[in-house]
Amino acid sequence: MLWGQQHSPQRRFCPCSVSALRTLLAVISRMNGASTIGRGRGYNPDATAPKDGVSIKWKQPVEGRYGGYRPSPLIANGIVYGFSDGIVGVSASTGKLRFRLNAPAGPGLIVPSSVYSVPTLAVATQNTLYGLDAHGGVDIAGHRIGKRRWQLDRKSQTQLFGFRSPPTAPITDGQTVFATLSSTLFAVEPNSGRVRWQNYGGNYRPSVSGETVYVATFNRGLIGYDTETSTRTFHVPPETFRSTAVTATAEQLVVSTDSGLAGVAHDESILWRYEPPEMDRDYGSVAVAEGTAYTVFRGEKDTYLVAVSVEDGTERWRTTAPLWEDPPSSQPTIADGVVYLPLSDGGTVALDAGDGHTRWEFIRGERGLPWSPAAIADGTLYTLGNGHLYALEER
Amino acid sequence: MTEKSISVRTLFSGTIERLQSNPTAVVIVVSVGLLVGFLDWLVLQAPLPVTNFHGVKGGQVSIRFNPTVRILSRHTVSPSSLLGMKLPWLMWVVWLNIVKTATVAAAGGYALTRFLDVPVARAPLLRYMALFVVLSIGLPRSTASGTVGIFVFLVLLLVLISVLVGLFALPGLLIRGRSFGPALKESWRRSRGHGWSVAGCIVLIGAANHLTGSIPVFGPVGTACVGVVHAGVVAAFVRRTSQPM
Repeated sequence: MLWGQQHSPQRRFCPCSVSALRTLLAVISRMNGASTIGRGRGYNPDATAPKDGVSIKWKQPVEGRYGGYRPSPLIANGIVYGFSDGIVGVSASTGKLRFRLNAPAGPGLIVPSSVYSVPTLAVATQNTLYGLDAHGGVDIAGHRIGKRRWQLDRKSQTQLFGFRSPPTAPITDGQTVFATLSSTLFAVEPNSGRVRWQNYGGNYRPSVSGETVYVATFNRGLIGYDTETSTRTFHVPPETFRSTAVTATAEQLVVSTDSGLAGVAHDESILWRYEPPEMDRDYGSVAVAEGTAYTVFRGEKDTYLVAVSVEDGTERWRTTAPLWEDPPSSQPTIADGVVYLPLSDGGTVALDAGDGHTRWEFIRGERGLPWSPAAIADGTLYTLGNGHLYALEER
Repeated sequence: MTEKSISVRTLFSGTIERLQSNPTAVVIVVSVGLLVGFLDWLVLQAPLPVTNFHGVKGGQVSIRFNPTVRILSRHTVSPSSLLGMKLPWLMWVVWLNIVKTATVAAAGGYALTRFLDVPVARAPLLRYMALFVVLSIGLPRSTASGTVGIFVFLVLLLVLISVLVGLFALPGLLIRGRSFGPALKESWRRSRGHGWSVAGCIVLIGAANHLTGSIPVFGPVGTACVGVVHAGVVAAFVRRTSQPM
């Protein structure tokens, strides 16, 4: 499956904060030399992943990262990219290190290029979008030459108080890369890094469906722009709900709000709402697969993974897993009927998508530092934690 | 006749006289500025990663000076962006750069030839163009950015300007037929006693280059006009400091 395919009218993960795109990538990337990374598709019924237990296929050391590992790994064309303090590129099959870059590391996206023989790795920080050589450039006497192709800087806004959102993952519709940097949504030509257009974009990851790119903005509502012209074609005002993330599917938009979840039709009508009074969430991504939305809520004493029907907003199940308290860091990844989540104190848990029971846990090393969301390709689960990039296979 | 001291005003007066006497050279250099502007536009039509010159608009204060006559290209493909480029695109970029380099170098050399009243000859022109290429690679641009401590910055700036002063007459001497070694020595010798005047010209020309280059679209033409003046000043300096044969 080639990356350049049209945006599929399938359910996709909600792209909202740091590793939301990783969540999507995890389910769809393939090992046959091609990749669907960056499409925004959150679910691939053909994807397989470890279901009943895992063993370590390989592990590669990575630089430590203060505060845990937020962006999930990225898999494309046989290379696994790990984002921590710097970027590593590792052979997916053997675990051999291909390159290590001392480069700003945020959530990334692989974009095929018509100008270069090697695709572009688009990496986002809070104020900058980098276009890097996906093979890390060329190593000459220990120096990486030609690793950076282009760079888009957005002036940062001084923020004395309040929440400072983490970097959001870029996405693409096959022709344009969309990224939110410092409240601005940029539509970027992937070969050159030139801005095609820009508009207000909030602080969360955009989502694309058809010819519309959607952004969830806390203060200005849920907005949709035409991908070519940037004309606003969709708007749900903030008075309806405060949106913090959006996942676009062919049938509806699944929106993460400051009080729960909502389903919104493409004609802007509200289909359903899920707003449990005993739980809350500030922000965080939503994964959608097979008619169910999965996301993390914070209760009075526990953190819950909740499964909600996207038909009518009814709760299917909830489970108290020892999840990372910060919902955005608990990014669900779904494949083959299993939901994978990073644990709050180090490790990854696999929950049954049907009823939420724990299928397996993988915990290593020093506890207390959250691991990255999972990425999945060809039956292997990849995750960052404990100073390593792990490849886990079915035991 | 060698004067004891040459002022900036004297050099610019001599420049005006040179320009008035050789309007063809002025037209040729400015036309090449138009060509560079067109080539900049061509680069922007391709999906290539481009480094843009922001100049004053980017909040940068700089002295853009090179001993050879330059015309600023506002949009360039950086060398690191060439790595891994598909061959057709790579050839396209290389070709554009060759055309740009060759025409700017030739135009600057021709202008110096006319302003120095020497016949156009292949060997001197080629030596000048070789110097142009070498200085394109090797000579860093001085930038008043102050990223180092102010004292260190001032010392570095002084050193750089001293080098530029010593090289100021080099292009003119090459056009006059000298080979590299003797031209370099003579350029250094001629700058003695006139360092402040030449440094003043360098600062004025460099600042003018930065300011005119900052103008969107018309940057190349603006710097071409400054380039003509630069060639005129070099010619005026070489003529003023010529020893009797």
